[in-house]
Amino acid sequence: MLYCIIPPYMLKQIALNGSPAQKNFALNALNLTAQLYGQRLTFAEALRDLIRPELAAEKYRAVYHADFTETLPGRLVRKEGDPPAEDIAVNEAYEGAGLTYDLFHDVYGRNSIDGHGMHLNSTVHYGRGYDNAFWNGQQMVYGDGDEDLPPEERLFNRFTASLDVIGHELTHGITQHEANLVYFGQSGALNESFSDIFGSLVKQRARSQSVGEADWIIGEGLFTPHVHGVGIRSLKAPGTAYDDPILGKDPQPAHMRDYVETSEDNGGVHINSGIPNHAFYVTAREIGGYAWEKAGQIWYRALTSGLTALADFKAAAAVTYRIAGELFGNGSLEQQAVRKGWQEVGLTVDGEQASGCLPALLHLLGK
Amino acid sequence: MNTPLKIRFERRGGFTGIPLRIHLEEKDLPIEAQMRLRELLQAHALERHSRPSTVGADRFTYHLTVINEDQEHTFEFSESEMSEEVRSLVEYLSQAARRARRLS
Ligand SMILES: [Zn+2]
Repeated sequence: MLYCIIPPYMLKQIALNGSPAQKNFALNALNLTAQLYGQRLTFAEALRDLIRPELAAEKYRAVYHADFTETLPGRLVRKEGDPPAEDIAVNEAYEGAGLTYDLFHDVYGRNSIDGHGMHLNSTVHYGRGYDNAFWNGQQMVYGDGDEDLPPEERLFNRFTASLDVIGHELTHGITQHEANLVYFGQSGALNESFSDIFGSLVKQRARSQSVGEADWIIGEGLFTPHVHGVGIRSLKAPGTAYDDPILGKDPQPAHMRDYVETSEDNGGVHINSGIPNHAFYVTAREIGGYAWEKAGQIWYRALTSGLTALADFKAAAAVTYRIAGELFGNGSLEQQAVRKGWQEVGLTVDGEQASGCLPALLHLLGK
Repeated sequence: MNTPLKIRFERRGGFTGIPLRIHLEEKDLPIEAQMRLRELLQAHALERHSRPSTVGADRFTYHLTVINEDQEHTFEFSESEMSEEVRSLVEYLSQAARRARRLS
């Protein structure tokens, strides 16, 4: 069972008296324990606010208008607490950043992108005919798609139209502040995958959808009706999101045997992310329920305290497996689900003997 | 009189990862873009191609190949580090490519 030898009272002691890393670990564990037992998080939250005052800070969002230039951040049009604007893209960026903040805050106990209440800055209406969204190292940026073309020629809508795109970009910021996965090759594909996974979880949580109810599509609503496709990527069935005479076919693999070796797009970071994406989906499917609760917790912990910048898929498999053992016990259903997730994409979890409760506690105490 | 240039342009990366390509001839460009391209070539400004940006994610990179008789030169730019001159040329080529893919 969860933290079989770390009872809640001990976690509370660690949360109050431990080093920052230990406090963090203990708070996450307390949070998770409370959730698993269906309790309200009041105690863990109160404790968190007591020992980490910065976490008591409210989320702070600001949305800027680029006026169709490529100058950042642009003109401030809506800040935290302001009523909705007339502009739908402004409101989507604002609400989407809020829902993403809420997932990380309420479920994983994280205060914003850097963990210390960093302001969530977004710019909309970036450039002309800019069919993209990106994270520039400091903020989220969204284009309006093919708004500069005649309506009958447009393939892309505005990029704020899809909540998971917003979650995706904000997660790039979190990754930068945590594992800082190098944006090339397998570590880059993992970087992309974490963004897709948490982007999808933001959407699933906002819609209260279980694993079975969710569509697992990234970028639903980005294509205009001129494109044959439901979105940009699918975690459930990589390679099936679109198949279009103009844009071609979704090139994502769902298995290591189809891994794409390429120098384009930083070594195919948006292509090979299909493999870890699908491993997460299978894990979540095996566990059942709400994907952000257990599977999401395992992947969040891997991102924030397991993986290093040059991690490859095999390292991700080993780390998520180990963390599942720490959180839910060795041989637990959850840990077996992680093994199955990676197995289905052609990666075996081996080498690393998952540390049990005692090693986890010793690790926590820095012994 | 200069020999007409042939141009291959490709945009890679971005959130969607869907590449965008176009092949065209110099005469397909508006006069202003033709002049800009010639100026950049003459000043060797395109050679100072930037390295891929290591900051952020989901950015575009642009690949421009210019074919002059039997000589071929490829230049690579990352979106975050283009000069204004290169940016305006890239913007034109991107729009031409986005229009062409719908009409093709
Ligand atoms: Zn991305």
